[in-house]
Amino acid sequence: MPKHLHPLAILAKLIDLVRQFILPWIFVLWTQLHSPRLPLLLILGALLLIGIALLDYALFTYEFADRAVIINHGIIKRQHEHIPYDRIQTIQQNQAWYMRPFDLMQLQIETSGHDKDRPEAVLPVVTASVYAALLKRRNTLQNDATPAITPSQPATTYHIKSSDLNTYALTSQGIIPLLAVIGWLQSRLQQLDNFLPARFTNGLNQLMQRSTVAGVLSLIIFVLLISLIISYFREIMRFYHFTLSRQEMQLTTSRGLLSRNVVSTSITKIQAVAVSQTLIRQLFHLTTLQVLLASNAASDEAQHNLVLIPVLKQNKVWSEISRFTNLNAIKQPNLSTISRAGYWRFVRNSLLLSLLVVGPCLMWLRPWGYLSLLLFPLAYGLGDYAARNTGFEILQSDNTIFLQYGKQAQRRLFIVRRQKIQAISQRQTIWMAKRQLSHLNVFIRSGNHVEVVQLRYLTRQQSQQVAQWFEVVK
Amino acid sequence: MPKLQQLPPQIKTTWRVSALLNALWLLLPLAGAILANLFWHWHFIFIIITAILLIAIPAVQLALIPYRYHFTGYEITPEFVILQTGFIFRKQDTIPTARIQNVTLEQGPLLRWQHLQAVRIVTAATTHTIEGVVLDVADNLRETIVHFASEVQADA
Repeated sequence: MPKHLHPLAILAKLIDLVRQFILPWIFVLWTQLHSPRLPLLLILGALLLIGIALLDYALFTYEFADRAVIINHGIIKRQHEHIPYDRIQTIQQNQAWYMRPFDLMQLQIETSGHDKDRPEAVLPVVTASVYAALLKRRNTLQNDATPAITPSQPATTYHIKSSDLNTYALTSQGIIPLLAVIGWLQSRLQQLDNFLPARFTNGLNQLMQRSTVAGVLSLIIFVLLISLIISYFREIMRFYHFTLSRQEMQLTTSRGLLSRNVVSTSITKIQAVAVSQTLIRQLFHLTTLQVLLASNAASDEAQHNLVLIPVLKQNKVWSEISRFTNLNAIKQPNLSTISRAGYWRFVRNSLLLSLLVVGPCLMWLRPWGYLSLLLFPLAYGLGDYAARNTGFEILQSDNTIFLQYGKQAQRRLFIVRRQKIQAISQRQTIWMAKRQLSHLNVFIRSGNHVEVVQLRYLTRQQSQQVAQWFEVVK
Repeated sequence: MPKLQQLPPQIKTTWRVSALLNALWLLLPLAGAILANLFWHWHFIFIIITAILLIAIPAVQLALIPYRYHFTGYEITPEFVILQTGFIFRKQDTIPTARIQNVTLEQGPLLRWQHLQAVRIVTAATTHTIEGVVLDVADNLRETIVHFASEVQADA
C-alpha cells in the first residue's frame, strides 16, 4: 500500500524551492522594487511555489514491499525507484531543526551503486517509526542469510568531550574558505556599485579615502576575528554531542546541534582509515580519524570521508583504530624517507609555483610587490613539509600498508588493506626516469569516487617495492 | 621492467592520423589571431606564434610515435593486468584481476579502419585502457580477464 510523506514535507519542499531560486528572486525584487506590479508578482510567485510543493507532495509515494523499497516521484519526469533490502549499505538519518519537535527525519538509503553522485533514495520527511520499520525489514531479510546478530556484547562507544570539541573548533582551518567567500562577496559588491544609488557609493568612497592604513588594517583584523568566530561556532554545531558506537560489526555516528545526523554502516564496508593532521593541529598533537566507505553516506563531509573521531590525541590514535575498525594491531608506523633528489624536486616545484605570483608582482606592483618576496620562504617551507611527510611502510604480516603524504600544510596517513586497493600506478617523466624517481598513485574507492593517494618523488626502487608487495600472490 | 606484450603496429597509423586530426583544433587559434590582426590590429607576432604551434605540435607528436610505441605495452597474468604507456610521461598501472568489475571493447572510426579494438578495464574506482589490439586478441583478452576475474571472485 503506497504511502505519502508526512505533510510537513510540503513545508520542507517550499524551503528547498526558495533556497534553490534565491538568486532569481533577488533579481526580480531588485529590478521591480519600485514597480506597481511588485505585490502581484510576489503573490504569483508564492502561488507557483506552493503549487509545485503541493503537486510534488501528492505525486511522491513510497512503499515497503516484501523484498524492496519502492519509491515513486517526479512531476515532469516520473521515476520509480526499486531498492532491494539486501542491497542497502547505509541508512542515514538527517533531522533538520524544524523537524525535531515533531520527531520527523529525512532518510537517505544508499547502496553501493556506482553511477549516481547522490543517494539512491531519499524520503524527505517521515516519522521515526518509518525508520524503525525500514530497519526491521532490512534486518529480517539480511538475517535470513547471515546468522542473527545477538546484541550480547555491550557496544563500544566514544563520546566527544566538550573540551576536545572546543580545541577542535579552535584549531579548524575553516577560516580560509570563509575568507575566500568574503573575498567573493566583495567582488560581487563591487559589481553592484553600478546599481547602488550614487549617494551611497560616494559616501563609501569618501570613507575609504579618509581611512588610513591603520584603518584598513583594523578592518582586516575585524573581518578575520568575525570569520574566526563564525568558523568556531560552525564546527561546534557540526560536531555537537558527537557519538561513535560500535555494536559487533555495526558502526554508528551521530552528531549535530541544530540538525542531527546519524549514519550507520558496517565495518566490513570500510575501504581505508585516514588519519589527518593540519599543521596547526600537529602543533597541539591532535589528529582527526576518518574512514573511507564504498557508499555515499559521507557526501557532505570534507573529502567525502566519514569522520570517525573529530579530534584525538596523537598517541591514542592506534588504540582507537583497533577499537573501532577491523584493522587490529596497528602501531605507530616507521615511514620511509624521501631521497635527496626527491626532496630537491619538492622544494623546486613549490618555489616555481610561487614564482608565478612573485614574478608579476615584482614587475607591475612595485613598491608593494616586494612584499611578495615573502612568499619564497613560505613556498620553501611548504615544499620542505611535503617532502618530509611523504612516506610509506609495508606491514608484511598484516597485508596492510601505511601511505602518507603532505599537501598544503596538512598531512594525511592512509592505512589500507591490500584487498581494498583497486589499482596502483607508477608514473615518471623521462627526466625522472634518468634520476630513478617515480610517483606512486594508489587508488582506493571512496563514496562514488576514487581517492587517489599520491606519493610523489619516491625512488623507483621504493615504488617498485610497493608494486611488488601489491603483486604478491596470496 | 617486466616483459610486455606490444600493441599491433597498425596502432601507429591510428596515432599518426589522430595527431593530424587533433592538429585541426590548432587552426582555431590561428584563425583567431588572423581575425584579431584584421579587425583589432593585434600584433602580427600572434599569427606567427599560432602558425608555429600548428606545425610544431603535430610534428613533435609524430616524431615521438616510434618511442611511444616502444614504451607502450600490456601484460595479463592470472592475478594481474599490467599496462604501460607514454614516453615522456610514463605510466605503469597494476590492476588485480580480482578488482576488475567489467571489461568493455570499444572501436572508434580510426580503430575500425585499422581493424583494431580498444579494451577498457573498469574497477570499482578506476578505468584503464589498452589503446588498441587486433580484433580476435581483443575478444581473447576479454574472455581471459573475465575468466580470471570470475575465477578469483569464486575463490574469495
